[in-house]
Amino acid sequence: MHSILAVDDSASMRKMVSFTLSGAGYRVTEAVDGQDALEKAQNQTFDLVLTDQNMPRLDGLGLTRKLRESAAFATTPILILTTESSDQMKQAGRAAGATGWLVKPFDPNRLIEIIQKVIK
Amino acid sequence: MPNSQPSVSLPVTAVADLQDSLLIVMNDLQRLGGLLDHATENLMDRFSSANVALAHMGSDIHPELPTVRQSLQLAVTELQFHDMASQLLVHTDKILKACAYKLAEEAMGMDEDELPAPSADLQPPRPNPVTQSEMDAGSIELF
Repeated sequence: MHSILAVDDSASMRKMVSFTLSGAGYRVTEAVDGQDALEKAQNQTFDLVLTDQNMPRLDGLGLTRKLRESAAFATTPILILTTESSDQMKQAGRAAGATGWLVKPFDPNRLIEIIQKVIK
Repeated sequence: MPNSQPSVSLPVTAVADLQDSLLIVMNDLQRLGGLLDHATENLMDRFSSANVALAHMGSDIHPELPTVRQSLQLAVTELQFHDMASQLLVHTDKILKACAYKLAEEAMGMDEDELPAPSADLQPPRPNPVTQSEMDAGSIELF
């Protein structure tokens, strides 16, 4: 079973992501912001990280940069799931090392398709 | 150096009224945020309960179950309204707060014993993070 780290400061979003991914057979670990995710990633590896962008303490771009510094997450797919849709933000995501940029709200079936595609 | 910017003067009472109005709107938005939080929490609990109940039912006895499960799953897109609404409220609150501080600073000056506003409150807010106007699923881009 593949494991996914789902990062969002919104409890309702975490619930929606967990509901969708658990239903598709993934093991989901939740983190409330980038800093919490970073701490969880120090003790455990994940097959994919799905993170929000705008969060307190550490945002999605910051989390992506930090994870990419670690050998354990050098090639792990990191998807940013956010309301932000500007090209400037997407370019920043690419530069930070993200694998993809998903604009909220997500369609559950499409999200699962994309995750299946990027998880090797 | 003379200020070349055109300016208008307002009676202090008008400025005070404007500030009161801004404060009322900010309080109303805060209340709206609380209502949304409360409603969403209940909605999520009921959504989870329905999902658990459905999981315990067998499709062989209830042939309509796969359709019901699929409908529930598709509702996930619309149920993300809370996250977007909350971000919009936070952004709007920042704009209103910046207006209130600016108004006070320009019209009334700062009292000697008054603490300056936090610098973040005086900065023009960054672009609105929520540009969506519908709950259609957003775009996906793989790099």
